[in-house]
Amino acid sequence: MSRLYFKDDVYILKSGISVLDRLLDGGHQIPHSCKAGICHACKLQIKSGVVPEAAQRGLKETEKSEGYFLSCQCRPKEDLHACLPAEVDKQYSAQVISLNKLSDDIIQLIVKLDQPMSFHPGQFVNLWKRNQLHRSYSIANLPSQENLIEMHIRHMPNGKLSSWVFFELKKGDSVGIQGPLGDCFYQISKEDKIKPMLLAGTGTGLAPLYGILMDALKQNHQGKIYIYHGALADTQLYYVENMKKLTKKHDNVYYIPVVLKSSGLVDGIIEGALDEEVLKTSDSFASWNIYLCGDVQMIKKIQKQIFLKGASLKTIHADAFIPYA
Amino acid sequence: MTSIYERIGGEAAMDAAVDLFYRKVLSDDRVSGFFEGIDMQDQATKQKAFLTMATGGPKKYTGKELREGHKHVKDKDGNGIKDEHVTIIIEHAGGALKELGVPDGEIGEIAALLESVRSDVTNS
Repeated sequence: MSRLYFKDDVYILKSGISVLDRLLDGGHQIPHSCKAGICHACKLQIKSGVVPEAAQRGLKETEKSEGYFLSCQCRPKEDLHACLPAEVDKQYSAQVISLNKLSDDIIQLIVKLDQPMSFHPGQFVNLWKRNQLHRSYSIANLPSQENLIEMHIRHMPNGKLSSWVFFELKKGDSVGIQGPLGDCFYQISKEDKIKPMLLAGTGTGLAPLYGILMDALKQNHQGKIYIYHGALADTQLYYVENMKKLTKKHDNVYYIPVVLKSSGLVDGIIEGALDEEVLKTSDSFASWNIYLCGDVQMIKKIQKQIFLKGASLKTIHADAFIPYA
Repeated sequence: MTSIYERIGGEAAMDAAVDLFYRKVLSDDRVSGFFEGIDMQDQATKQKAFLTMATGGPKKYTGKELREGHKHVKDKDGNGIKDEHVTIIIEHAGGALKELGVPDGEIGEIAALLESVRSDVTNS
């Protein structure tokens, strides 16, 4: 027998009763359907405690490490605090440390949180302007002692938050950070560290990919890592020197900048369509780990094509940047 | 008597089955139109449930649920699901399971089970 904590309630879980059934009994509206561990509608998240292995079967590695579990399959032997997914993210206060222009319309914003936040590069946070306005941005850096978070922010035409960052925000100002959110991060088993990885993104999609790349290298990924950065023109690429330094330092990293129309400003650039170039990387993507971030249309296109070329659905992580409507 | 689901490896086999099945479906112009623009991961979860049901695993849909779930499905030209589409999907499910080593006799059983829900899926 164990105790189940959910919102403000505490339940005694009799042996054999699932977390889902107990919560439904208690009047909570938990989404659910098959009660067989297949549909994933009943997914909850661990706030604290441990769940049995059966309760995480079928979930992606990233979801497992984030503490997601299937409540219909969960019959815990020990006390468990559970919550609805994404309630685990917290609100932090942060101070602007630096604002650097990376290209004509992209700024690198680095903030320092008032307390440590546990995160994986590639996840994202909500950046809050006072308490009024927020937008989501991916985390481009590794966790640091100084509690820093790095984001790459594109100035959107008529963008409320991005205009604030570009024209008003100054070093020393306070911002709000909520997170971490998302499951697009490096979570690869020991055996898979020798397998090839493909990272492909457009525009500020490079932010999460850069973070994931740094994370992979930190965790000693041995397999080849191909990182593609797509843009319309040379002037929209950024971090080119950073990327070239990484490829010099690590001989398993390949950096391929791809633009639709090149003006010869960047060495080694490929002129073409990102999806076409990405698919040329291999005859088959079976056993590859794939990360795709950025423009919705392009990401979906690559996702489908790469799946048709052998990539397993479980290994494709796609984070499409959907602009605020 | 174990089910086909258990014999081919249960839940772990379903991931491989979905990859094989969904790839066949998306590569077939005759039916891929129904999956245009749909979130792939969402769809994969549903395909897994479908194949689990087809192989006798722990997932059962009622005729009503199948009817409701497919009633509004249209391809990019606005066509609903017709008999020929169902036949093609059943063929692809069979093809995927064959690649996983399910013998022909059992593929026949699975096809028969899927045939029994044909009218629910075409809403006829």
